Amino acid sequence: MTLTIQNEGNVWTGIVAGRLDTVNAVVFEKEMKPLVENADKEIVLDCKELEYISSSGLRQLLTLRKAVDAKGGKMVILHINDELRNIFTITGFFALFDIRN
Amino acid sequence: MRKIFLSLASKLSFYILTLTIVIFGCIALVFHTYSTQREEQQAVRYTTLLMENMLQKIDRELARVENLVALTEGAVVRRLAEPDSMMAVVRRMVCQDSTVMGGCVAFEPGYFPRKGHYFMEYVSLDSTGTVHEQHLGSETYDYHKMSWYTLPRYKKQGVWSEPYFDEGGGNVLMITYSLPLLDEEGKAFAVLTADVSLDELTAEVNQLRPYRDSYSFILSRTGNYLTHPDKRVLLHKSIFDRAADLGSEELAVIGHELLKDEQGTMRIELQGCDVLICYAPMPRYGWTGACVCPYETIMSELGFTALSIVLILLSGLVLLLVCIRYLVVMGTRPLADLTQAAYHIAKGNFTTVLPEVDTKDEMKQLHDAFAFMQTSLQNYISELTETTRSKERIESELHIARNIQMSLIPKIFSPFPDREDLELYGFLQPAKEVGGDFYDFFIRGQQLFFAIGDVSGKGIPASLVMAITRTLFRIMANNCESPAQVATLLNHAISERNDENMFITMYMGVLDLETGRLVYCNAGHNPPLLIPQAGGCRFQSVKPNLPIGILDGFPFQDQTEDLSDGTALFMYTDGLTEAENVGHEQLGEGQVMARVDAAQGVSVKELVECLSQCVTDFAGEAEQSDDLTLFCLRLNKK
Repeated sequence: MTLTIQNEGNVWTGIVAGRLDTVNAVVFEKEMKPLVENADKEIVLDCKELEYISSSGLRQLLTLRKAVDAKGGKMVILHINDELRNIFTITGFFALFDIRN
Repeated sequence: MRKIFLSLASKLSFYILTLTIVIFGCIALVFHTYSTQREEQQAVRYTTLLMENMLQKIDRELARVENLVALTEGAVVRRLAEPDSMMAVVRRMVCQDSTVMGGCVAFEPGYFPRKGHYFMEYVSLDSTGTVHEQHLGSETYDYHKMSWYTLPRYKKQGVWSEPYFDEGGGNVLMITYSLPLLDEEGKAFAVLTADVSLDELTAEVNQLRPYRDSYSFILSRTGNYLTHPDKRVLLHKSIFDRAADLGSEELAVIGHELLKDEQGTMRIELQGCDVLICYAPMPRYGWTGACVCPYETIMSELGFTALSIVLILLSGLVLLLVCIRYLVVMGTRPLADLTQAAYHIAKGNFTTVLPEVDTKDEMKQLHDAFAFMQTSLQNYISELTETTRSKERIESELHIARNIQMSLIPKIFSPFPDREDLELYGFLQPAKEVGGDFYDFFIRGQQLFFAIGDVSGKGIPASLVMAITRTLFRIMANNCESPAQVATLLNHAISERNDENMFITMYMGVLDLETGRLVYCNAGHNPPLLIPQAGGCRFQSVKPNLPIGILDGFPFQDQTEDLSDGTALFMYTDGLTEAENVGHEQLGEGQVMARVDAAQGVSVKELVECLSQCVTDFAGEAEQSDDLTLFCLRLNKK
């Protein structure tokens, strides 16, 4: 799993690639700190190269979302593949996030 | 272990000795070359000097004979009027000098008419010293035609003859000096001769032996031997005759070289012997003196010096070898002690006393590093012991926690012996000691309350939430009628203090055991499989409710489904569909459905066991990635 964070003005983009499973979720939690710190701005999570997400991974997205809600920013999830879309749908997360293509 | 030190010493000795030998060898080679050249130059100088002395000495002796003949010439001229006194004149000349063995005066034909055509007075000494006087000259001995007579007459000056054997006078090698007597018109009227034995000359020349095995000889202008230490050589007459007799080309070459009337030296192979020949001319006579010195003898002195040097070098090398070995063995002695200490430490004896090292070199550094390692090892081992102890404690606690957690899960099947229409079976296997999956069920009146859940994450954090959730479900479900109501209450309870953002996906249902009507609520969980008795399983349709614990106040919604006779409800957690093999491939819903269809007609227990086996087979060597829970129920109407 890799998380690349880019900043362009008011927009903070995190590009997630690989597998966000229980083990990697711990790494992800540390690496997404800059996004949490800038949760008052516009956070974009590009999941174009994300292959898999476990419930621990979903928990991290939830943490990020709560931070954004608390600080009054915006959060968008981009480019999730069909498998992820299925997981998001089953868990009801699809309704919880602003998911775009 | 000593072997290693010896071999280290040997290696060092070998390298140093090799280098030393090479250096010494080079020095010795240069020294040898230089010394050889010097020795040769020295030999040439020395031999030449000796030979010049010798030749001068011979020259003086021959000059004395020439003087004697010249004096006798005066006496002959004064007594020309008395031919009969000529014998006495010659006799005086012969007896006056010990080297003169004979002499004569011979006159031109008919010089004294009274004496006839021939007139030659000859005096000789035999080996006993007796004087013999002879009147020679006859038709048989026509001396006027002999070379000793004609040559000086022709040349009008004194001439030394080639050597010859005087067979009458003691069989010795002789040379003759012939002096022409000239009248006032410069015309020769007589020849005066003196025969000189070469014996004394030979003795003189033989004394010239600058080196052992060296020898000298004198050649006449035509290459005849005048002297040679080996009498047999003299019989060859000439050096060229001898060369021809011996078939020795070298000797002929030497002969030509010697007769060039020049002083010089040459180094040549002579009869298998490397020799140095020094030669010098005697211009007055056209002779050449030569001294032959075997090269080996000249260099024998040098050879002795070289041998001494080699011996000294060898002794030095042996001493060096001994010193190196001693120094290396002494220097590396602490290594052996440290090695012993290392063995003791390796056996676990960490308090082993290290050997003292007094020197302040690498050995001391090694000793200090060793001591540091010993201390570090001690600390590390004690830390490790402590860690292991606490790990064991945690493991034992985990084990207890696992027992507690497992006791929260119903394990008695069949749990309702009086309800023969209800088939029920559950299976739970955490990925670690404890996990976040759970299932539960109970009957209240005619209704079966049941739930399956999966806490996000795994391990201890998940297990705590699981325990809370399962307990809350038991309490709340007991007081509620619909699953959505339970979900809402649960969600509120969990969300309230959820700083860690833990959430639980849950599927819960209430099955009316009389009617078979199922009311269910899915909180973000995987949809269960409906397995009709006729086969052809399908996923139950579920509303996308959020998992429990995410959003307080989320409106959970119920759904209903009539379970027709014999239709099984198969619930599971994502440990089934997302089971992974070593290649991170997931089992997937498709395969799960295929397996379920393949196992048509079996009991719910067999179905659950079949799928758990399926996960084990699929994962293979891969570590179980997530908790796995399978829960299946079937209502067979009476």
